[in-house]
Amino acid sequence: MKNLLRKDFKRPDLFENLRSRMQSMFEDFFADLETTSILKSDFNPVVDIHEDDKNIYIKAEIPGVKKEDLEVTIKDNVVIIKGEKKEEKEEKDRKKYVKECVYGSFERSFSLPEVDAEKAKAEFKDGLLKITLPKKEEEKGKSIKIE
Amino acid sequence: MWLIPDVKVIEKELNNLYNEMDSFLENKIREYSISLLPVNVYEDDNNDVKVVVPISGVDKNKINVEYKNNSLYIGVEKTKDVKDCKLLREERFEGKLERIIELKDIDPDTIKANYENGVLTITMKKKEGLVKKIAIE
Repeated sequence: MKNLLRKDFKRPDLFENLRSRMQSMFEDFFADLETTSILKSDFNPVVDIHEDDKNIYIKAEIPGVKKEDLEVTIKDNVVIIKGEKKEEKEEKDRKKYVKECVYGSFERSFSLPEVDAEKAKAEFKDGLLKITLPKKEEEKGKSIKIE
Repeated sequence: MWLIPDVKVIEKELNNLYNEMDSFLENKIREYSISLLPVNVYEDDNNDVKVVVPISGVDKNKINVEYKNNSLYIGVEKTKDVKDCKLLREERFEGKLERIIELKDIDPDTIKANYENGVLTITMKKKEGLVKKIAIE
């Protein structure tokens, strides 16, 4: 009798439940990380954004991309960094035995507080893109006289 | 009573779970650390070896390349110059990074390194004539 029952005894539901719950917990956690592009398998530049009283500064790491292949646009207080990281043709055909670098087109966009797009500046050196965006001076509240 | 599993079964299950989580995390950490300093190694038929490492916005003096023990050592110190700013988003890494790539039979005198456009390129030649046929007496 004891043997018979043993045979019927499969993996307890308790563990299956726990396993699937932990799995989904981890998946959620890493899905969050992946949307910030840090763990994405395609090339996607990492970005820092700082601000002081006058400006907002964006710094993006885009190594090995030519200036011509990079585009920065500002529209409605949204900054879009777009480009393509190409592998050199001569390198493409070569035999590789370590391949960790990722290539391809990328796009990142950031919505910012009110900035003056006309006065924005961008600089690209050593694969580091620096964008300086002056903040718009807040319009002074206009008081309305009550008649 | 038979519904309660054996203690050994519980132990085994928990151990499996733990190991799965462990290897999952380990893989993620490895992926992440590679993504911080990824490397491509190319080789052609003329014994030319080329190592390509994308590193953004680093001073040339903060990059260290060495060849020893049949391996290429690449060390980088990444710094950020941020003064009195409020941080809105931070994804860039700051600190020291190191990679060791095993590259056998390299002629150390031919190693050249160049940092341009945020990409470190190291070229070198493999030693020729390593194959030595030994006659059987």
